Amino acid sequence: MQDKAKLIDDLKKIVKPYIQDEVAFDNINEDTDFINDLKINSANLVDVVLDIEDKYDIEIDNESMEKMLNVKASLEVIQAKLASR
Amino acid sequence: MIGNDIIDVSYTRRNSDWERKGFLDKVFTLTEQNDIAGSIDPFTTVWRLWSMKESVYKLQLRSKSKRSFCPSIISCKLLDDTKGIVSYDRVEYGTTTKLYNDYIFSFATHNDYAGVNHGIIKYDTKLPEDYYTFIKSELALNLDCKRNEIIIIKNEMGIPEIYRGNIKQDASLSITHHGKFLAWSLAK
Repeated sequence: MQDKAKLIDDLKKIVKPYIQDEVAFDNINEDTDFINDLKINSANLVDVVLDIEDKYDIEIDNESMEKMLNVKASLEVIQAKLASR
Repeated sequence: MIGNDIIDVSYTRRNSDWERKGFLDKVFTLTEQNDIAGSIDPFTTVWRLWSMKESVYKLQLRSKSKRSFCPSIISCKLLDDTKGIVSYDRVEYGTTTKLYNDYIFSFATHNDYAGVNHGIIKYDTKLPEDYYTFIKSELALNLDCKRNEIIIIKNEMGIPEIYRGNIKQDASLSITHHGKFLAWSLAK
């Protein structure tokens, strides 16, 4: 299992093209919300999910995608998918 | 209850690629994907359907305790050039969509309201800091009161609620912005 700091760092690179709040992005942490804090628009949230799938070679089902509104939930989904491979 | 969504067409052309691998499967049902494939203008159909889903999601969020994100479980049926039916959690909602060259605007309502009004503005660069002031001015005209009597407070789900003094108003408000467009919808 990859360590959390590395996962956050990777996630930061993934969301970077879509963020609209630089300050929130610089202070990204587990509690950061993609829409409320980073101001990622919802269409680009689909891109984030697709980019995560590509990066880790995992498939994100509907049930997992529903939760992926913030860093913490996304890390949990990624870790669970990687662990079940 | 009301929910709305606006899409800035040129912003979307620059910032979203609906043709990227996996995008349609993540967002649309198979029936919707067939509608898109069979349409004269797939781009417009994609974003029309998206705005229908988003407006129903926002409407339905008012009765939920948690946000979620999964557009493909919200399913749309196109009735004609403007009207649609959207099913979400086994409830059907009527939607209206207006298609223009530079924006797509949808709204959904659930209960019966005497009237639904909307306002749409285009701003030059970024969403202005004082956009609530603008919305309040327009709401004042619709609610027959003064601008400074109106308070808009977002609840913990991010849904705007209208207060006059300490009293929460029955009128249902939805606000959407995207790219260079801002829209409000009021059902009362």
